[in-house]
Amino acid sequence: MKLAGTIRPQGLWALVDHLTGQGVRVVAPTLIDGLCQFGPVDSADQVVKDYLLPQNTFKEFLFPKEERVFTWLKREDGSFVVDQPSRDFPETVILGGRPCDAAAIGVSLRSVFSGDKFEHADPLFLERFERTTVVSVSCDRPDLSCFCTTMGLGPDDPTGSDVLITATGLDGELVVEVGSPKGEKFAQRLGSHLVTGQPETELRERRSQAGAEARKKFVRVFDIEHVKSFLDNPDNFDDEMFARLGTKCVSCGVCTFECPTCHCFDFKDLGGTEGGERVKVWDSCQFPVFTVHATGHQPRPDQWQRYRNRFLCKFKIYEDVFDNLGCTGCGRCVRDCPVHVDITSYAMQANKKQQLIQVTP
Amino acid sequence: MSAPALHTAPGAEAANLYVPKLVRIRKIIRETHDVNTLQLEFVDPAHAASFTYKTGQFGEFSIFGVGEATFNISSSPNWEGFFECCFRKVGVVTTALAKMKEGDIIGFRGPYGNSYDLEGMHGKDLIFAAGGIGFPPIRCLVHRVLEERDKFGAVVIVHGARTHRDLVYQREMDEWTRRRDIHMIKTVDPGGDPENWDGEVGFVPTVLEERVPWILEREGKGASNALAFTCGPPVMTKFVIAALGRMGVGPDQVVMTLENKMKCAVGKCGRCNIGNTYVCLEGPIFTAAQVQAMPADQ
Ligand SMILES: Cc1cc2nc3c(=O)[nH]c(=O)nc-3n(C[C@H](O)[C@H](O)[C@H](O)COP(=O)(O)OP(=O)(O)OC[C@H]3O[C@@H](n4cnc5c(N)ncnc54)[C@H](O)[C@@H]3O)c2cc1C
Ligand code: SF4
Ligand code: SF4
Ligand code: FES
Repeated sequence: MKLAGTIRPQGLWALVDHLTGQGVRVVAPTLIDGLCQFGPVDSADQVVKDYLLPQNTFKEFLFPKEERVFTWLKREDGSFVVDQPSRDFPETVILGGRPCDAAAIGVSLRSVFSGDKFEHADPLFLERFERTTVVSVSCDRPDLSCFCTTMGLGPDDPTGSDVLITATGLDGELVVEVGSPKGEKFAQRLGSHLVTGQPETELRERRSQAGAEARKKFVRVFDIEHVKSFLDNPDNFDDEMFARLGTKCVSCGVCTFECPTCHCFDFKDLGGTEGGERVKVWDSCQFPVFTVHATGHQPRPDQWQRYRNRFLCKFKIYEDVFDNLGCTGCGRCVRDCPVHVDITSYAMQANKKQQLIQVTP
Repeated sequence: MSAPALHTAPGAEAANLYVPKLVRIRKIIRETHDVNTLQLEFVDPAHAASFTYKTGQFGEFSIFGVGEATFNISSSPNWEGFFECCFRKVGVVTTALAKMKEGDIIGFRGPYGNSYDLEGMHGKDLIFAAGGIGFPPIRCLVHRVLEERDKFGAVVIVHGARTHRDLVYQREMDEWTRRRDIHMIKTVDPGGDPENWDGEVGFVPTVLEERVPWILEREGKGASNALAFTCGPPVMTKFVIAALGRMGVGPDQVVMTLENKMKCAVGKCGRCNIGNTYVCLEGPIFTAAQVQAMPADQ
């Protein structure tokens, strides 16, 4: 990333008011129903400044929970008018995203909807993406569930961010780095709040030091080197660990709705034949009806098989199919599962098992 | 894989993946008490002019206000002016579809998925074995083969159903029965045969194993030159593959169509995967050997 300069928190907050005044939608951590969540804010005082990770991800601003795909109207002569909603998506700044979410949404989720690897691109996702600037803030105090470093990322990793802001700990100094034209534009908008011209080497040094300090605070650190080879071996599909670890899952779907890389959806028709709309709505591979064939055949009859699919999706399928990381270690599914199903214990066990196989001739 | 199908509706800048084109039901053919064939034509002539598909591809068919269902395109791509699908009434969309009338308008998006490798079939002896609603996905292929009959070896069709009233494509089968260059074997499950039944009685895999080997021996070039095509619920295809195996037709010579639950058909909704295989993107047509190598998540 390119070093743009430094800024003070006040400068950032002033920008929020400036942007909203210009009609830019600013999405930031804010209190919604008493929880810190990503949501649109009108002014800086609505932004939660002391937070680790909002409960939701900001993926819903690119891949909405509910999105109208088209509407229809039946004319008197029996013909239909099919119309698509207008696509003047608002210019959006995601302020205060975290590196795990930026990598998950800006790179992994995008790879599913982009059609880069397959021929079908979802233009609605891409158009929203074009108009969205992801301004991430490096983390300085991961919690017990965070494991981005294990996934090859980190509290100050720039992947997927247009702008990365890192506090150096020196008197409120925030280092601003930009990684894309959208990021450059954001830096320009900071105007006179952005202080430039400091000695670059020292600034970079202070910034990496801050990242290094944050990295030391991770406790959920484990080895995933062998996980993929374990999962690549078809014999391990029926390994005992899957039923043992997953039977307690109650199929609530929380882990999938909160996950920044989960992309499953369904369509629902609202209205009737005469007129109505088709909406695309989030869905979850944890629900039993998700995969039932028309013949009644159910490929994944047990709940632990459905969680096995989720684990495979994150640690194998995403990589095989979309060439990207399926899990960025945000820890949400670990933190918020009501019955403590823990994806990291899956990864640790798979890793251990593969390691044992490799040392035993 | 075919080129992406672009869908435009009034007022839209670029193609939204999930917006169907309008098609008119030109004709309804009642195949059985719960299976109908729909002949469809595009409402917009421009859509008709740009529409092409390959044998074995599928589409998403929608009734506005009810939803979408995935069906194979069961006609031959060489037929002009219309295309067909054939569906069994099993749930919400198919029940509503069964109530539609000729002239009614529905939505269609597609074609999607891979297709049969017709050139790879040249010179081979072909076995088509399917039951019930598993037949439409291979019926399009039977027609394609018959259009260029001399390019292929022996052709055997084993078509089964629970009872004689459940046999789809009766009219075509009567015609195929009369042809001397096809072996048309129809069969119904024990107890499903009426008094003057002129077909076989028995399950598809059983009949296949009893009747087909000697046909291949007499008219074909032996099991190693055969290719078999099947489609149906996993319980049935498993037995078909096993029966073929005992006849010397190995899993890499068996081509099957998977019918995983689908919604988007374009690799986004995450519903159709078996392990790391997205059936809508890489399939729905696979060899049995490929399917057997997939995890047991089927
Ligand atoms: C590639 C492909 C090709 C296909 N080709 C054809 C074809 O040519 N012809 C054809 O007839 N079909 C075909 N199918 C199957 C077809 O897609 C389904 O029959 C159709 O989608 C059913 O739609 P529906 O809305 O009527 O049924 P749904 O209402 O979705 O229900 C169908 C069945 O799903 C099960 N189900 C649904 N909801 C639940 C629930 N809550 N709990 C438990 N079980 C439930 C039930 O068994 C029910 O009978 C194909 C499928 C695929 C993937
Ligand atoms: S799988 Fe869990 S930890 Fe990984 S990105 Fe998704 S919610 Fe976060
Ligand atoms: S793993 Fe936990 S959060 Fe996920 S569906 Fe099961 S019970 Fe819900
Ligand atoms: S049907 Fe949506 S991913 Fe295959």
